[in-house]
Amino acid sequence: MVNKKDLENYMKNIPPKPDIIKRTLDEIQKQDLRMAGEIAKEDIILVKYMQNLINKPIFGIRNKVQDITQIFTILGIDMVYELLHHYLLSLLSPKEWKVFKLDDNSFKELQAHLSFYWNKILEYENIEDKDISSAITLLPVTIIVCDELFHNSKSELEILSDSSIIDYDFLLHKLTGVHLTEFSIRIGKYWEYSETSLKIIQASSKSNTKLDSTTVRLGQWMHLLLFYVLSKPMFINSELNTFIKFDIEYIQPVYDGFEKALGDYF
Amino acid sequence: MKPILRKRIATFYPQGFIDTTNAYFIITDDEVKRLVPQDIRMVLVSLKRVVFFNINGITILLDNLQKVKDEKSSITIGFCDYNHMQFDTIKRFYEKNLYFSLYKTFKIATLFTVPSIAQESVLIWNESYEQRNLQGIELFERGYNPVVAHRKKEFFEHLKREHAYDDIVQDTFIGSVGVVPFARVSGSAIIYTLTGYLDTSIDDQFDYIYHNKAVRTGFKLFIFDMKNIVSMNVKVLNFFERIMKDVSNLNGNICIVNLEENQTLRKIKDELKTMKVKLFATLDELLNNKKLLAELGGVIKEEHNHGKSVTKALVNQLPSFINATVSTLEMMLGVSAVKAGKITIKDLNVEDGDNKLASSIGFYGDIEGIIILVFPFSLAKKSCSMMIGEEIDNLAEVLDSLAEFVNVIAGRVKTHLGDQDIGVSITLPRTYSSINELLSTLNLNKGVQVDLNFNEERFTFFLTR
Repeated sequence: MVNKKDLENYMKNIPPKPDIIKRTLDEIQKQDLRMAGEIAKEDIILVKYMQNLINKPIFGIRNKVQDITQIFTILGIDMVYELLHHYLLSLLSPKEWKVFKLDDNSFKELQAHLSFYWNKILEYENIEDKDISSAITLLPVTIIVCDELFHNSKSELEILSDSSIIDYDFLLHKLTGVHLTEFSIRIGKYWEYSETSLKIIQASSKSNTKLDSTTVRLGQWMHLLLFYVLSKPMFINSELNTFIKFDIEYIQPVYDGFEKALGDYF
Repeated sequence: MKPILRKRIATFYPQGFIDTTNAYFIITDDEVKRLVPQDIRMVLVSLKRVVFFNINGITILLDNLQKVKDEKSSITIGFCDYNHMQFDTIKRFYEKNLYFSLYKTFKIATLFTVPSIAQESVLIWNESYEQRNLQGIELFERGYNPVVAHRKKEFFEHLKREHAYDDIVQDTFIGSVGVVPFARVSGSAIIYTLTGYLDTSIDDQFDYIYHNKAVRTGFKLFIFDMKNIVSMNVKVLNFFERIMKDVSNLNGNICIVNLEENQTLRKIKDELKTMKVKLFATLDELLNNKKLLAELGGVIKEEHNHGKSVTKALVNQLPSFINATVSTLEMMLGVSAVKAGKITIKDLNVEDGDNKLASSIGFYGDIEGIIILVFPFSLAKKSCSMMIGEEIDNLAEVLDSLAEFVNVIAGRVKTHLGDQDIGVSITLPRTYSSINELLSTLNLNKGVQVDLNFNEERFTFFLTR
């Protein structure tokens, strides 16, 4: 079905971070949003991606915003930083989804939902940190990797799914000894995500037991949020609801605050 | 969402949150269509990885599960893999109409679908004695060795015995065993409990088929307990007028209890009195007045099916009736039944009838009839004591428990018949302190009589129309 060689081949084909993204992120580091917008304009696909994502209903922007510099100004530094990373990850998404019933648009919806609610949680936790907010962008990597690795095994998966819930993480680990989150970490490192972001991703899957309590708490929030979003009808229909195991015990310390954190959006 | 098919159970495993917005997408109509032709006994939703659900979400899931059951009535529907808090919450949501089943784990659900291989020992605890006994009987019939704890303390004592049991069944509920939640029997009276605001909607709440069958079974006294109603308007008078007409034609009575006083209700009460409906302040005031109760209840006389004998369809189902009865008794008594004499169609013939107790229960639907069970006092006492988990001695207590006992058996017969897509509803059980009382109450036709010995004590099963 999948072997270690497939995993290495997959990693070898990860493209380097595009130059425009690098330069835009550099300007954001310097807090120059105008210049960042000017650089971003050079990449028409990036502009379209940003326009599409920010005008998703979940962000609740009433008047459609088209101008990239205006988008950057409305969103502010942390959010632009986060959305640029979403764009970066979207470059990995398959042209044609084969395992999950997703397409370009529904994948963007997934990214938008995760981002929107993640920022509500960070507000609730009084956290303002672009490295923490952009950590959420690495979460859907597991979905992309699953589709890429298992897309040739559809018939075997069909048979398996008759008698057991297909937990792709379990399956991949059984076949190759590698967990899905390891891809998020490796890709995150390759694209120079901050150490903070990578640790939160590790915490969200309990793959690192030596993390500080704040990081663990953020990981618990992220794990709960993932399943809140995957419980949405669109993602149940996409067959994402069961793609990895939801660990109810793990999220208990934060669960009571979830409704409050999301407020009217719960 | 695709269910997992294992051990003749189709299980949906949603993760995360269940509410109105997503429940329709968990069990879709397409999945319902796919499930109907499958060789399955149960369709369940696992709550193992569900962190949040609300009543609307659960109701939508149940509506969709019911669609499978509508196509295949023998299928059990419900939930599994929940914690104690989730179990209590679901029970609270559906307090008055828990028509589906709840299995604490998937493994426990399989005990009720898969026969035992090695007579595994199963410890059972449920606060309702009807439930714990029913679960015990169901498992016994599948070859398990059930041990029913009749008190919580006793259950915990059993739990201390490490490795003594292969499985422990608790926080489990077998739904829909012929229980009619709005009605119960006290002596020869039926007590209906109505709820909410009463107007013409009373017709939706009241089960006329059930009531008519109770009238035909010979019940004379019908008590309407109004303790749970908010108020009512004059439209309910039409309802009582109709009910009163049928009941008074058979010399029966209608009583209303716990109806509070206010200006609107005063007028309604006056009208009810004109109709000869009797009003009492409380239920106890009526039930504790044995003399009055006897006068209002009158002598019960069966009015049904003169000249109708057992049908071929009914005789064909005899094994279902006998199996349910025998396995229930064997489980309760811990001894095997030995058939005594031939199975024949005849008038009920019981020796030493003055020293025997009997119970009866009717069923109607695709097939129709009455089951009568005749016990020697000691056998009835023993099996009823086992059922409620404490020694009972006096006749009234034994008769009360005997009614529950025959209800359990009828519930099981209903399930057996359901497996063959034969739908029946069951009436309330009745008990009799002697065969004479039975014969003078029920105008019995010829029926199938099966005599069985349990440790030399003669038990009689009689099936008629």
